[in-house]
Formats: sequence, C-alpha cells, structure tokens
Amino acid sequence: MVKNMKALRDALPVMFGYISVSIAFGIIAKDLIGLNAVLMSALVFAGASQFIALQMLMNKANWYLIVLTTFFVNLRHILMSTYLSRFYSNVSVVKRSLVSFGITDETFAIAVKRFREGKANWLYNLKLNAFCYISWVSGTLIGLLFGYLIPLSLVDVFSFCLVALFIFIATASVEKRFDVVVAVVAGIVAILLGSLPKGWNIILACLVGCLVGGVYEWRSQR
Amino acid sequence: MIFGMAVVTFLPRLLPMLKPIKPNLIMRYIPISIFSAIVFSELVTSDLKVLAGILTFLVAWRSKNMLLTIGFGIAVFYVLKSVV
Repeated sequence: MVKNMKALRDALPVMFGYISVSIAFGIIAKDLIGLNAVLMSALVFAGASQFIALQMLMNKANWYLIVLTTFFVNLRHILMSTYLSRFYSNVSVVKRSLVSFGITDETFAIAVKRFREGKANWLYNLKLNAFCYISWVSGTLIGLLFGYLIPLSLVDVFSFCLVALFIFIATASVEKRFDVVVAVVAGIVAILLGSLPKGWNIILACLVGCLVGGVYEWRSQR
Repeated sequence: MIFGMAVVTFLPRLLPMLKPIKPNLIMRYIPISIFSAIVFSELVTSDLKVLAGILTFLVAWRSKNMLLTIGFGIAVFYVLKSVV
C-alpha cells in the first residue's frame, strides 16, 4: 500500500537540507569533539541543540548544563508527539517507540501533511524518519572528513531549503480562514519572544496559537 | 554528556506517543502554530531571509507545489545573497 518510494520522495527535500546543515555541524564539531560528533548525531538527532552544545563546549560549560539546555530546546517535541499520537492508537508500543525516536520539526511536518491526506501509516512515517536520519548522520561524517573541501557559504544557502520547506508546509496546512489568524498570531508571538532561551518561543507561540484557535472553536460552537 | 543529551531528547518524543490522548479541537491548531512559529523566528534573523521568505511564500501559495517552492526558495536566496 505505502511504498518505499513515496517515503523517499517525500524525504528528499528534508534529506537535502539535513545533509547541508549536518555537514556544517561536522565541520564545526571536528576540532571540538572529533568522531564523537557522529555519535552525537546518531543518538541525539536534533539540529538546534547539537549546535548549541558545541557553542557551550567552546565556552567550557559543564556537561549537565548542556544536557539541561538540550532538554529545554527539544521540549517542543512533546507537542508534536502529542499531536501525532492520534494516528497511532491502533499501533503497537514497539512501533510507536521506533517512530517517536525520529520525530523532528521536519519529519513531523511532512508526516502530519500525509496523515491528514490519509496517505500515511506508521511504516511510512518510520521510513520517512529513517531516510532523514541517515542523511543527518552521514552528513555529519562527511563534514568531519571532507569539510575542508566544502565552502560554508554554500552550506548556508542550501540550509534555506528547510526554511522553504516550512513555508510550504505552513501554507499548505491552511484549511480554513481562521488557520491564517492562528498562524499569524503564533508567528508574531514567536518573534516577540525570540529573546527567550532557544526553543521556548516556539512552545509558547504554539500554546498561544492553540488558545486562540480554541477560543474561536468554542465561540463558533455556541 | 552525549548519552545524557540522547535521553532528554528521546523522552519528550516518546512519552506522549505511548499514551495517545483523544484528539480535541484545540490540538487541531498545534501543527499550524508550530510551523508558523518556526518560519517567523527563522526569517527574522536576517533581512535577506525576510525578503526571500516572502517571495517563497508567494510561490508556495500560488503553485501548491512543494519541490517547486523549495527549488525557488534556494535559488532566490542564493541570488539575493550574491547580489546584496
């Protein structure tokens, strides 16, 4: 039913962006942690917090502070995992756990789009995550080994791929007029709270967006 | 350190998935809020990105084609970076 190719095709833009960003990660990580960068990408699989960890290592921060920061940066995955769980009520715990390891901003975005279209199941989601994971880990290795061959400016341009992806997904997930209101409100909140520690503005913007949406739903039901 | 990071990133991904809660009307707005928040907070990091982002949005809106949108986005960002 759900073929390999479909997951791969959907994953390609993300893989392209992940390779670019993870190559940059590998280049920066090389002198700080060497091959452990690959281990980090393989076990943590979370872009923003990995870059922050490098930054904190440069500033000689304590390891437990880095772990704590990582926790808060990725706390937003709770919201994504909560949302995705609605599609997993009839799926075994093992399968759910496997899929959940691969939840990122990007894989979440693609998976939600496909689930809403009725074109996804757990296996599709797992494959999608796996393809993106492979590109993230291998990009890190490429950056470590061959980073000196790749100009960082090029990496910067290609990483805009992920921003463009989110612009598309955000635009495509507008189903009714009020979604636009919620999107704009959440966006503005995210900007206004941009000075908070990384990750918090996304969580709070999402909560405000849901609150506004909830009030609207509540009023239109009465 | 890396193992600690691995644990604290995996748990927020895993735990809500293990206990599916009944979908409600508020949760419907989670994806759009997150997508929009990510886009807005990423774009405001530079003027070039704002401009490239607006143009990319127009293509996304009119074309409804993901690959076209992404290709256009990279191209326009590249051109803007080269020109400015």
